[in-house]
Amino acid sequence: MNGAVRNILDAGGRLFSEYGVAATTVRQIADEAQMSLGGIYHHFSSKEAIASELISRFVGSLEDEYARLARSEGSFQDRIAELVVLSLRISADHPWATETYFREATNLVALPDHENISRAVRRNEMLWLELTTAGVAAGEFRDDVDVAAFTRLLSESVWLTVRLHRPVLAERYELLADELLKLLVEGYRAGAATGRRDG
Amino acid sequence: MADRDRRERILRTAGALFVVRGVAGTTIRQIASEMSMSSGTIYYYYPSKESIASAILHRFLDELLAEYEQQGLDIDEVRPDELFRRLIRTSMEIASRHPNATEIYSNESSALSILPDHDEIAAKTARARNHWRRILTAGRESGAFRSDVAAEHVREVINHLTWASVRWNRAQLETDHRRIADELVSILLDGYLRRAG
Repeated sequence: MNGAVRNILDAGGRLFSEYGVAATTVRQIADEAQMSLGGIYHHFSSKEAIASELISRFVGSLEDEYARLARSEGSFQDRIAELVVLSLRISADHPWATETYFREATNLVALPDHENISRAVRRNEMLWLELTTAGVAAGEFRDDVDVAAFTRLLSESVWLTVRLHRPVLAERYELLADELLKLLVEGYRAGAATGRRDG
Repeated sequence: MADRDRRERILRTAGALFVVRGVAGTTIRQIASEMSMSSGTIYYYYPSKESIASAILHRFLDELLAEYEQQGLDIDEVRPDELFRRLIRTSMEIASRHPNATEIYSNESSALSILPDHDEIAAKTARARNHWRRILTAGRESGAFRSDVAAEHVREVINHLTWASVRWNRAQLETDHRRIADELVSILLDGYLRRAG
């Protein structure tokens, strides 16, 4: 990735996450990135274009990796685990994109690429639900709780973990994923995992 | 109308507006017009919209803490998983009686520092967090809960999912809070894997 672009996305993302796009200026992004205003405008036409690019790259990466996962084989427990791990890993590769997306979620239409972003987000959410639903049908997951409710709890906890653990995400994403899976898939009760179904 | 009823109505009306438009996007005039009152009448009870938001959060947190404290007394007598269930049931039941409070707290979390007594609100939420910590710690120490996951990460996730569930299920919360709490507890304690046998 172009170093200057990456630098701008990173600086913009930090400011958007803290103050929101509306309250951030291109001048502030230039200062944060230690670049000239002209240097920023050489790559981006506006702060909205920066936020848009930041989020697009992130949801695009997720979409690519999710597509690969959808074609993979193995138990649904393993595939859900993989889904959580790669969601955290890609979030680590795209600093501040999750935070910016959540902050701007109610105002996405302000971003130039919002239609593609929304489409990708919907497809990504659908993939989570397809995997959990197929796991229930295969008899691996419980059928006595609402599958959409579980899926929402799992994805919410993943994106929360990204936001809360941003500074250590790149080095700890595997451990954090493992903890989420122990809590939500295996259960927090001691010994809950031992009663689990094999395979 | 009695003063108390009027205050109550102001909190409800303003709370609903705050949830839709945010505190920043709401004016005293809008609150007044929604209630067919004059702005002056609102100002008689509350000096600012921020103080209304503050009052909503305080009332919710006070009731929540009072209930937690009552439940927390049982820590030596009640099994940790039962305490855990009570904690989540209580949280959802209190939230069901305070429409808008959880939503305002979560929507405004980045703007809470503009509230007039944000230090007190922060102190109360810290006390609430400590109740969760205490119950989770007791469960871990007694061997009822797993010790192979970081305690603070677990607390953050459980806490967040409880309040997120309140927001997602707001429309059914008043009648269904018990069922919604029990489903969350069941997933968190027993997991999503289907049990053998």
